Amino acid sequence: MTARVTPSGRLLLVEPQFVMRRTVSTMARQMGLADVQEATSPAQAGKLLHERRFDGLLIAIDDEGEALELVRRVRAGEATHPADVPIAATATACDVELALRLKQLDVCRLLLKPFKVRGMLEVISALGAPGSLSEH
Amino acid sequence: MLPAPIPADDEARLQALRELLILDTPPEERFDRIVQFAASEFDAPIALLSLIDRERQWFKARIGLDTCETGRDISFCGHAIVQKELFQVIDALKDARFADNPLVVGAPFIRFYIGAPLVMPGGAVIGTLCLIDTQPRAFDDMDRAILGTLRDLAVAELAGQGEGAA
Repeated sequence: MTARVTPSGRLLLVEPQFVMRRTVSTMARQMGLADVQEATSPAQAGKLLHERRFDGLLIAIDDEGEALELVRRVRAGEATHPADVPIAATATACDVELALRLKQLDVCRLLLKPFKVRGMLEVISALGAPGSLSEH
Repeated sequence: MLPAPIPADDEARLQALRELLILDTPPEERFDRIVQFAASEFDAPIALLSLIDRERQWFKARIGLDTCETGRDISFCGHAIVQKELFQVIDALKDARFADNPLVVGAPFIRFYIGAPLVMPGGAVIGTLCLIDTQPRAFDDMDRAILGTLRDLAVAELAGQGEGAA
């Protein structure tokens, strides 16, 4: 994976919770971590991925499986977006099945709830760094 | 105890507050979510969206406090609104302005306070988004930036420019 999120890079943040999403995106911009585009759902994110290229994706894993399906489509080259974009995820919980699935999809980082804004920013900062699936 | 000062522009400030028609209105989820998020983000036992009326501070949203208002003279937020930067008290018991304050020597036994002034688009400072702890604590630059961002969300909602904090 050679792509990397830089201060001039564009990150797609998929997070349904408004206060978290807006706070993280504002902070990331203020800190010069990335130019963050917000999406409230995997469906909205899919449209944005179709319209423009991103240097990183941070996506909340939902219970309905829509987020995992979007990641699968990206990796399979079905999202009209470069398939090798670095992807990190947030989740309420992680069992062995989810961990294996995320690893298969080359999701480089996983942040488990309850997480803080600071943790999200650390993930954004590190999103471009190569590494295996890890929990924070 | 040093009573909360009255800013020179208090009448204009009160006018701006009252034009919002928000005092004594029921709780609203868009504000409750911001305050809940602030309390959770900072592991603070008390978080408030406090509006400073002529003689009281009234809480539009509150976590960890049963009362919906206190006197303005004893309020920490009354001190916070005379400036536009964050106002912080690391340990109220060691601060001559607050050491014998009823909110320090009695419930809720405030030791730590930080308030982000709610500066409206017209410049009026109508209240604060604040955090309170019963223990002294540290609050670094990143924490201050996050609180400031949450304050900006609250101001946007108050000014009718928010997205409903859904």
